[in-house]
Amino acid sequence: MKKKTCLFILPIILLIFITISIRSVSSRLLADLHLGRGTYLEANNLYENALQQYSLAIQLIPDFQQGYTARASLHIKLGNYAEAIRECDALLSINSLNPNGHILKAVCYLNLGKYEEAIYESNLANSVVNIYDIPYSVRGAAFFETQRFSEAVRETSMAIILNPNEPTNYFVRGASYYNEGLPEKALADLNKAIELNPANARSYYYRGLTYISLNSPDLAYADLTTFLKMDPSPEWRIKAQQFLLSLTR
Amino acid sequence: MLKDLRQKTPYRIRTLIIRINRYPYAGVIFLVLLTLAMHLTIINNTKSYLFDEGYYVADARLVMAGQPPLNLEHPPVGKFFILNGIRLFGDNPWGWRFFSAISGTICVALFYFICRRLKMRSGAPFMATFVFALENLNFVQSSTAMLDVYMVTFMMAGFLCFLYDRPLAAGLCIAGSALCKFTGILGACTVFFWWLFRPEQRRNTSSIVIFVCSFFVFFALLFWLLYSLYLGDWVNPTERLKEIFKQASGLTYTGTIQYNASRPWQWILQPVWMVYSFIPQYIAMVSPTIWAVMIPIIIYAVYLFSRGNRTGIFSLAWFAGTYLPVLIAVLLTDRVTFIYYFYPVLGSFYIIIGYVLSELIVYWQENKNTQGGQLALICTIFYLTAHVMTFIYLSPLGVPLVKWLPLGI
Repeated sequence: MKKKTCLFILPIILLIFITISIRSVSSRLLADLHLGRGTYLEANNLYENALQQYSLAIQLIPDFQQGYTARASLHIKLGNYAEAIRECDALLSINSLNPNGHILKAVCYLNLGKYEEAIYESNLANSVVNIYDIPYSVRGAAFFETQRFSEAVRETSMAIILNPNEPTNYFVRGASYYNEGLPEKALADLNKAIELNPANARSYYYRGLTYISLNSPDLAYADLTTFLKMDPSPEWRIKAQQFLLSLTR
Repeated sequence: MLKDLRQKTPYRIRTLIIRINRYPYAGVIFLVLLTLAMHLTIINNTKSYLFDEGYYVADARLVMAGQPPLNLEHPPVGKFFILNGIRLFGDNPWGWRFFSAISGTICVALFYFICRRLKMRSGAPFMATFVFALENLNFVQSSTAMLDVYMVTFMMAGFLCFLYDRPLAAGLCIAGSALCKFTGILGACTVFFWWLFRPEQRRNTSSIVIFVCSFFVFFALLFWLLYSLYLGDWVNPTERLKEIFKQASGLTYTGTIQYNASRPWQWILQPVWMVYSFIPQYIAMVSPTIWAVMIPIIIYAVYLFSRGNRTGIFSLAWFAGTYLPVLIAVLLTDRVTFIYYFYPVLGSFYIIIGYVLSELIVYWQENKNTQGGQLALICTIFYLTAHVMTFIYLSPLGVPLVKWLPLGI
């Protein structure tokens, strides 16, 4: 009799325990599922729906760091840098040591042309985690844009070691080498940049200039023509046309 | 001629099936091959890093580029595997994760032989290994380029060596485990508890002395040699150890806000998970079929222990050796822990589950016509089905939950 009672009571106790345990984590479970659904929708280019899912996740857990990170990343993808910075600030107010907050903020500043701020945020990200390639990439790009080419080479070299598959790093380092008067090194990097991302117009522009330095006018002409076909901004167009004109002369 | 062939072929197949059935290792060979096939199927699933993979792959890239590695918190053995995987297969997911998959597969075989050595009832080692091979956290950890799977593989090799009375080799293996990740040292606690409580050779102190000495000698020697090899310069081992402990103790709950962190008691009292990736799905979570029965298993293991049962003693030694020190350390230092720190402990649960399932099957075989016997069979089938189903839904092999789970929107 005792054994039979035990056989009935024990599974009931176990079931009650399991139910209570699952209930205690239900909001976290839902928040994660919303985040995951958002990731799935984002991958399918349904950005509005993805944002909605991320917001639902944050509603469930107000200090849900992954939710803010996801929203900031999506805003960057959509080019809403001011929104993204707001999300990063919210994230960093929850956890000032979250490297993602600093990294994403650095990316935003870089895209907004605020290079010193981008360098500052990258440094903060590196002070927390020094193994991610993006802070090095951002610093490299910021140094390049501010014409500090040797520093740009140093930073992008590190970024290339940490992530050898990112074409932007090869482009920045190649263009920096060109500006430093090292056309052979520039050519190797720009070739790699074009191999990894043939859609980046500026890689053709700099490779064209590098070919001019290496006395290969035919190859330079081909690259600069490709660059013009890719429809760059008017300012860059004028520069390329001037070089082309000098080549035809 | 055709008729002749028809008559012969079924007979040959029948004979083959009978032969396979009689072969004692057929089941484990099947599980090993299945595990390997599952790992190799998903190895290229994602080209993005899964959680901490970024640290180890980036370090391997730095070493290959002739630069000093940046992440020195963990010892180098596991990182050597990742580094050599990249050298062998290139800087791609195959290179990063190949040796993890191989380690995970070796683990399945090692675990089977541990169970066999515990002299469990026939069928129990296979049951336990089946549960182990199709458990989500084990599968996820051995699918990623993280250090835990190497640590657990060496640890299990150490247990097996000690069970086969090879204390010198056991010391080397546990030292290897600790050189993958320092928590591998806990394997030595398990060995010590097992030696202390095992039913036979209780007074044989030589085995534990040899084990302890070999562990310390191998650990000290290999720590110094491998770190020097990894960093490309002779290192001062004491300085290195100090640095490592300083880094490891810096990550506390008061110092950081870790959403994914969980405390050791939560691993048993709550379902805990960490998402490495949603699509493809890599969720570090103990299979619910294991988590739900953890407390009854511990109670049952204590019961078996009290009766001097080898399986119970070893299982409890494994649990106490790998779990309790972590629990105490967290209580004392407030160190941040994650669910995958529970991975080395899980073997102790699989053993008892295998033991109970085989007991249920035997009970059914002996009481086929009674209600109790039928209930035992139903429970076994239900549990194993639920275990396989949860594995399919949770593991990277299944369709990601976020793709189909209704969320109300």
